[in-house]
Amino acid sequence: MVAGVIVALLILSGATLWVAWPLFRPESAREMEEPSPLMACARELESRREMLLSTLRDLDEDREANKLDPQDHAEIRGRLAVEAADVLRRIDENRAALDSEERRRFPVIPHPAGRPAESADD
Amino acid sequence: MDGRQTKFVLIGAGMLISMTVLIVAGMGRSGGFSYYLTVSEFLVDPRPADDRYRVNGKVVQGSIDRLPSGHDVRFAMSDGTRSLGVHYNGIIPDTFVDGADVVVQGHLGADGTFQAHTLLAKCPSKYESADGAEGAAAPY
Amino acid sequence: MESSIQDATILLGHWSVFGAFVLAGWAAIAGALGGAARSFAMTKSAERAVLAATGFTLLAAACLVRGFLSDDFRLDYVYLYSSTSQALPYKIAALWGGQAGSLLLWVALLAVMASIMVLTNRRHNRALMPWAVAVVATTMAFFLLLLNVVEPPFRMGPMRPDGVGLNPQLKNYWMMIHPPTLYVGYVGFTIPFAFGIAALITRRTGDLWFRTTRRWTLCAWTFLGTGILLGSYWAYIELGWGGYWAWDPVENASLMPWLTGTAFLHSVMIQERKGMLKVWNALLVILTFCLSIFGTFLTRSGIISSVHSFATSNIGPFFVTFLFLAFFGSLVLLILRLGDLRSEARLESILSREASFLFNNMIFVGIAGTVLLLTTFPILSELFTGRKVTMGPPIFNMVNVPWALVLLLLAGVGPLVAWRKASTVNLKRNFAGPVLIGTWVLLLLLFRDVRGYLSAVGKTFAAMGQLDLALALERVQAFYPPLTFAIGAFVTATVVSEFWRGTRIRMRHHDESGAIALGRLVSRNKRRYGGYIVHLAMVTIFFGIAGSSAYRHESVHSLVPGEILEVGPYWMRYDQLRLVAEEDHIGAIVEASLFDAKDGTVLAKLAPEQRLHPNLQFEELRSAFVEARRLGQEGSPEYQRSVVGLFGLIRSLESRAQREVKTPSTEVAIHASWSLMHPARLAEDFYVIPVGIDPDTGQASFRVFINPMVNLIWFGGLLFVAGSILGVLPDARERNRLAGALALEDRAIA
Repeated sequence: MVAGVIVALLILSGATLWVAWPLFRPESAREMEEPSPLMACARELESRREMLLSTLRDLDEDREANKLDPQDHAEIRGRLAVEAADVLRRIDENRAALDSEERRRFPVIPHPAGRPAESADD
Repeated sequence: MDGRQTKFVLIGAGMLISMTVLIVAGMGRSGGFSYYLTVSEFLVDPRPADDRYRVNGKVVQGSIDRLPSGHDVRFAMSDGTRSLGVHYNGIIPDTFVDGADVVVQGHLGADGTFQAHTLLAKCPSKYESADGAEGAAAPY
Repeated sequence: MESSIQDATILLGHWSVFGAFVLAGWAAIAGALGGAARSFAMTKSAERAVLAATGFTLLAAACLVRGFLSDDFRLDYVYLYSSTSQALPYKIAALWGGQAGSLLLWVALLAVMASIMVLTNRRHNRALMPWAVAVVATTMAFFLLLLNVVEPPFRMGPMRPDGVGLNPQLKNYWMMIHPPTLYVGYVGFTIPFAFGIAALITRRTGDLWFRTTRRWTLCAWTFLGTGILLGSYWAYIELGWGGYWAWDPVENASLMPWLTGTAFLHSVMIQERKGMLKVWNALLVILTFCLSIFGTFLTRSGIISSVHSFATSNIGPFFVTFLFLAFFGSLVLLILRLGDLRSEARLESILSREASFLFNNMIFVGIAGTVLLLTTFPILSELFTGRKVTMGPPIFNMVNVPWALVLLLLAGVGPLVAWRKASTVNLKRNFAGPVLIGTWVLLLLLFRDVRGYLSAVGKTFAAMGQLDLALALERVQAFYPPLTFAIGAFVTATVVSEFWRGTRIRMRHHDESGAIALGRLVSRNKRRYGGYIVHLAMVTIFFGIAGSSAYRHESVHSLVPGEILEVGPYWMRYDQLRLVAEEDHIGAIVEASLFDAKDGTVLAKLAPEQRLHPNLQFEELRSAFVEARRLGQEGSPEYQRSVVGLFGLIRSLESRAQREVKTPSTEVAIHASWSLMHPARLAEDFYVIPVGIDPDTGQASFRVFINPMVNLIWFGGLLFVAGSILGVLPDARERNRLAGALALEDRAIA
C-alpha cells in the first residue's frame, strides 16, 4: 500500500516536472515572431501558385476527358495562364526582397535561396 | 448578388420548402407522429380508437404472462402511480423482462386493456443505450 | 499479495483519472496562453501536458481492464458488466458496456489522437498548434471532468461473489468492435475542428488547416461510416426483427455527423481549387464536431426516451453546457472573422463540378437537419407544448428517401461535369450512354409489373385529386425502388466510364498497357478514384436497401418436428429440437434443413435458438443448473430430461416468486444465397427466428423473413472501406503540396 502511494507520487511528480520544464529553461523567453509582411506575402503567393497549377491540371484533364469545350478550355486557360504568370513574377520579386531582408537579419549564415519546398525538413 | 447566386438561393429555398412540406405531410400519416405519454397521463384522457399513443412505463414485477404462441404476451405496466394492462402481439424483444422500461404503441381496447402493436423494451440497469434495442419497430 | 495489487490498481486508476484531468486542464490553459503570448515555452508545456494526460488516461483504462480481468467485484462497474463466467474477450469489451467505461474509452481515444497530433506536428504548424492543442485539451478536460465528478469509473462497493454480467445481446463479436469504431469516428472529428478553430483565431485562414487535417477528416469519416454499418449489421443479426435500420435516436446520432462530414469532404475541394466557400467549410467543420458531441450525448444520456431521465441522468446538463459553449463560441468566432474569409473567386457556371458539389452540400446538410429535427422533436415538443410527440420511421423515410435519391443521382453527375464550366454539348455526349442505361433499367423494371405501377400512378393522382398530399407522397413511394435501381445503374455507368476514359488517356499518352495504365491512374489519383469507389459502394448499399425493403417477405408459422414449411422458393424442414445447458444459459435449438423448392437440393442446415440465461442468485435454480451441466453427455436421455426440467423449473419458480428469473435471448439463423445459379436470389437472406418453443412437445413457432439483396449492404460496406482506405493512403502530390506550404509557414514564424 505504502509502496503504491510512493510509486503514484513518483509518477505524478515526474509528469509535473516534465510538463513544467520548458517554462524554466533559459530559452523559454523566446517568442514566435509575427511573420514579416514579405513572408506573409510569400506564403500567400505560394498557395495561389499551387492553386493555379492544380486548376490548370484539372482543366487539361477535363479537356482531355472531353468534359470541356475546346473554346471554353482555351478561354479559361488563357485567363489562368495570365494570372499564373503574374503570380510567378511576383514570387520572384518577393523572393529577391526576402533574400535581401534575410541577409540583413542574419548576416553570418546565408540562407540558401532555393525553392522553399526543398527545405521542408528541418 | 448576381444571377447565379440568386439561382442558388432560389434552389436552396426550394429545397427547404420541399423538406418542410415533406415533414408536415409525413406527420399526417399513420406510424408517423404519436403522443408519448406516461401511464397516468394516458389514463387521464384515453381515447379508445386513437392509435397515436405511445405509452411508457415499467413492467410490473411478475405480471408477464407469455401465451403459448410465443408472440402473444399480456402484462401490466406502471409509472409508479397507476398501472395499465397490456396485450401485445408481435416479436417480443429479448430485452422485455420484469422491471424493463417499455414503450407500447396501440390503442385502448373495449375491455380496458391496451392493445399494442409495437413494443419497445429497454433493459433495466444494463447498457444504458442498447443500440437499436428498440426491437420491434422494423421499417424494413 | 494479489489483493494488495488489486487495491493498488484501483487507487492508481482512480488518481490517474484525476491526474489526467488536471493535466488536460493545464494543456488547455497553457495552449491558449502560448497562443496568445506567442510563447514557445508555454506551447511546449501544453504539448507535453497532452502527452502526459494521454499516459494517465491510458493508465486508468488499463487499471479498469485489470479490474475486469481479476474479477474485482468491489468495483461497481465491474460488478455491473462482468461476471466470473464471462469469456475473456467479453471481459475486455465490458469496458465499454456502460456509461463510465464508455466515456473513459472515448477520452482515451481522443487522448491518443491528440498525442498523434502533437507528435506529428512537433516542428510544423507552430502558429496553429497552441490553439489546436487548447481546443483538443478542452474537449478532453470536459470528458475527464465528467469522469471525475459525475461518473467515476472506479466507484467501489462491498466485495460481491459474482457480477451481474454483460447483457447477452451485447455478447456478440460485432458488438465488441462496433462501439470503438464509432467512437474513433466521433472523436476523430475533434482534430479538424481544433485546427479550424485555431485557423480562425490566428487569422491564418488559408488552406493550411484543412490540408494538415485532410487525412484526419477522411479517417474519422471512414470510421464513423464503418461504425454505422457495423451497428446495423449487429442489429440485423442479433436483434431478430429482420431489419437493420429503425431511425432510432442512437442510429440517427451517428448518421448526422457523417452526413455533414461527407458534405465537408466535398466542399473542401472547392476551397482547395478556387479559394471559395471558406465560411461554409468552417461552418461545416464546426457542425460536424458539435453533432459528434451531440451524438455521444444522445447515445449516453437517454434523453430522447424520456426528458425525465435527462433530469436524473446527471451528465445531461454538463453536455448541454459544453455543446452550447462550443457551438455558439465557434459561431461567434466565425462571425468575428468573416472579414478574413472573403471568397477569392466566384462560381462561373451553374453547370460545373462546383455547382454540383454545392447542391450535394445543400442536400447533405438538409437531410442532417431534418434528421436532427425529427430526432429531437420529442424534446422540442415537450419543451414548447408540454406534450411529448415522437416521430416514427415512416416520416423519416418519407422525407429523406426522395432527397437521398437526388443525392445518389448527383454521385453520378458530379464526376462527369467539368470544373468551372461544362458545356451542354459535352454533357449531352458524356451522359448519353449512362442515361440510356438508366432509362433502360427503369423501363425494364416498370414493365415487369405494368399493372401494379399503373395503378400506383392512378392512386397517386387520385390522392392528389383529393388534395391529400401525404397520401399522394405515400403512393409515390411505390416508384422509389425502380428509380433507385435506375439511378444506381446510371451512376455505375458514369463512374465506370470515368475509369475507362482516364485509362484510355493514359494509354495514349504514356504508351502503357491497359492494366498498367489503370493501376497508375488510380495510384496517382488515389483520392479521386477512391472517391469514385465510395460512390459505387453507395450505389451497392442503396440497391441493398431498396431490394430488401421493397421486395421483402415476412410470415409467421408454427411447426412440429418433421413438418415442412414452404415459403417462397424455399422449403424448411423442422428436423428436431435439441436442448442444451451451456456455461451461462440453457438453450432450445431448432435443427432445421433448408431446401430449394424447385429441385429439392439441400441449401443449408439451420439452427436458430432460444436461450434463457437463468438468474443464478436463486439457489434452487443454481443447483439444478449445475446438475444439468454436470451430466454433460449431450444427447443422453437424462441430460435432455434435466434440461427440460430446467425450463419447467424456471416457469414454476416464476409463478412462485412472482418475478422473472431469467433473461431470454434469441439466436437468429440466416442463410445467404450467393449461388450464381439463381441470379434473382443473389445476396438474398433466408432469415428465421424462433418466437416460441415448447421444450416439452417440441412445437415451435417461427418468424421467417426473405430479405432480397440485403447482403449488398454489407458488401457495399466493404467496398466503402476499400475506397476510403485508398483515399487515405499517402499521395505524393498531396504530400509535396503540404510540405511546401508547411515549410514556408515554418520559415515565416521561426
